[in-house]
Amino acid sequence: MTKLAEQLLATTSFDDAWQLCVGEHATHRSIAWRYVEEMTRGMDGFGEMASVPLEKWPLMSISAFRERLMSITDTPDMIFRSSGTSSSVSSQHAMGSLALYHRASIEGFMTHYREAFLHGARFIGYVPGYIDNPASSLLSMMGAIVSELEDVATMISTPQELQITLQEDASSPVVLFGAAFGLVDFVDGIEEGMSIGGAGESTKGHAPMRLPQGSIIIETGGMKTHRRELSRDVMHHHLSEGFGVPRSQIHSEYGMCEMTSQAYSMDGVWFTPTRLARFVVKDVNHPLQATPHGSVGRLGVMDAGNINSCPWFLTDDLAIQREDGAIQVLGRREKSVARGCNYMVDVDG
Amino acid sequence: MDNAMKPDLRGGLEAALGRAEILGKRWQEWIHQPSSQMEPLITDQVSQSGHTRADVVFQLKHLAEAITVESLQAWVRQSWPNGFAKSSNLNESGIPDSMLICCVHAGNIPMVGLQDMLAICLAGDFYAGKLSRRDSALMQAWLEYLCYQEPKLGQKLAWSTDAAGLVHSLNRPIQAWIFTGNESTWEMIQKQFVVDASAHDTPAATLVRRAEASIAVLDDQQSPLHSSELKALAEAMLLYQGKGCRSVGLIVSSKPLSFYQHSCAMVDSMEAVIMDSNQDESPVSEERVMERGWCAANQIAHIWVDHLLIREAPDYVFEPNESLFSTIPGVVYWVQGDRSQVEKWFDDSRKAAQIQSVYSVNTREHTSQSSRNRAEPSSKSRVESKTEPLELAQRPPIHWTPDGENPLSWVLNLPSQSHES
Repeated sequence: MTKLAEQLLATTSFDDAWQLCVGEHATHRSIAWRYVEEMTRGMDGFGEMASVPLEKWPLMSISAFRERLMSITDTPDMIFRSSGTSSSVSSQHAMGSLALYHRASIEGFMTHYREAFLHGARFIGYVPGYIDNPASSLLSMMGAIVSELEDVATMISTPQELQITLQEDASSPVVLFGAAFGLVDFVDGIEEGMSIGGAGESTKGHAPMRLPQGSIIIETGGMKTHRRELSRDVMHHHLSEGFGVPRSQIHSEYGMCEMTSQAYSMDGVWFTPTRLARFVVKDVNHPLQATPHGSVGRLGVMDAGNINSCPWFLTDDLAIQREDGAIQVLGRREKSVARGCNYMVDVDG
Repeated sequence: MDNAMKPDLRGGLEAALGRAEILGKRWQEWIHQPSSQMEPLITDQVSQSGHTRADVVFQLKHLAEAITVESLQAWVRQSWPNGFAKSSNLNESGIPDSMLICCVHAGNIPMVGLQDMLAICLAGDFYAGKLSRRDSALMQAWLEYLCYQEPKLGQKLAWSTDAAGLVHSLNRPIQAWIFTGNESTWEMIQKQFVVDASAHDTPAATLVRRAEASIAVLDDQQSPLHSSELKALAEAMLLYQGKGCRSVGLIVSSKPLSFYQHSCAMVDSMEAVIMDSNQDESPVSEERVMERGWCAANQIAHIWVDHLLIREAPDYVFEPNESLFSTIPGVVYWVQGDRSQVEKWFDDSRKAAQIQSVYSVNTREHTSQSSRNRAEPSSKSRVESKTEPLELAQRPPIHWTPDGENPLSWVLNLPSQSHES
């Protein structure tokens, strides 16, 4: 691990981590830093950027990750690439220190779930389809968590393997962490009659599965490319029914290729960022202005973990922020609405 | 011609020409009303649309010239299908039934739905217009005037800014739809209009407009553009804040943008159009400011005049499935190349669908090339069929073809059509 990464992980507060991150970008006059210089040129109150309130920072569009590889170091450990959706060009995120990414991911995850493992839970990382994308940040994070938890953890990429693994130990609670579409597909497979009870026994028409008491399911979102699009609420209900887990035990994770840090939602609604990150919400039509708490806006990310790339950027997700900083993610902003015949017609109601 | 529409005008070319006469005459009357009538409408239009007053006036002046009895009749003749003699469904009075066609209008430029409304009326069909709340003041006033002056015609006009209200006012099913949008729009419209597609034996006909913007190909190999060409280019990019599908969203030039970056002539022409169209009174788009910051931070060649950013296109515009245009109005991409580059984009059906028009600064060359290559079913001929002179970008004739489809022809060719030759 680089000295800088160690320094960042040694910080004890977001403010300290942010100071270090801003200083690094200023020292190297990174692309992200030059952007801030351009956007604040001649403006009062932006002399000492590290002390500028987060809601006032000029954020860079997330599309920047598609157009340029932003990296302070010439030799990043890893370049993560987003999985393609409708676009053929993916985002690319230069991770200066892969160890930093792994430690930050583990720290964020364990903050919420350490207790479960102390009580004998197993960890299953379920990543169907991701094996084909070795540059996936989710795959890398899952691998780090599995390494951290050693023999109580495993990573699985097919529904058959997941089925067998769940059958092998029906008594220990499970922390099942996976992409939403994969978990939904698995549940759908059970409902469609995939055998899980052994020796040809079909579960069709039965309560499909009941994970051991204390089990937790964490979905990572990502239904956009799925054959059907579900709201988070409907999806959680579906997962709760399908795995026989109380609704309160269906959690969510918010992360993306462009972030080093993640956020977790223990109630399926409000996401809290990990120590190295904070969220801001910007006005949809005036993305340089912050919205009041409780108003819908575009989600901005301030991630000190992106110390090598771009720590301040504006996503295409819509969100609401609570006063304590937690956010509710409302889905993807429709971008292709602004011009020509593609200009969106009015939405009633 | 008698003001009231005669029932027998609903069938045949002559009847359509008669409707063109009525519509052209009423349009000219309406648009040339005293300023005491028009000014409040313009003010309302400006406040609801966010367009500048100059943009609205520009459009009205253009439409006043473009829509006349003669131009509408020419459009009818041009659109009338050969050997058009379909059987008609006759109602109890022995009159052919008309189709009920619903238009869900966007609101990106003033009176953007007018051409569709006229097409439906010229065909003798029933127009149901869901007006955009961003573009209702002028359309509503025009429709009210037409209903008042031509009560018979008015019986075939319904409109509202509210989908549910419009559906409620109709007492028969909608048989065809015209709307602008993308893949998710039809689903949204079905929800708004409470349309149950599965309830129909045959799905309603739909004409969906998808084009996003237009391309200007600069013939600047030998010498820089003339001031008149620069002005036409600036107008094509800037009017209506670049939101029209006829607005230029991408420029192909033989020269790199850096060649023009320090050209006073180009900046001056853009500044002049901004001043003339009062765009300087509009707030500057913050997304565009962010894009300029990104260009500056990365030393990407760009020209910035507050209400317009021209920048070197990102590399990904050349990739399949990627949009050719920025999602930010007023951001125009610049690609160094020539017409062969545009032809390559037309080889990609997804990219071709995004392009409304290709403008050439050299009209004479465009015309002769069009004639020469008309028979070639190639991307080259497809480009040429979409090529128009740059100066027509914001001054289209009434018969222009959004998304390459003549709406009057489309209406006249709808299945189970009621028109007779």
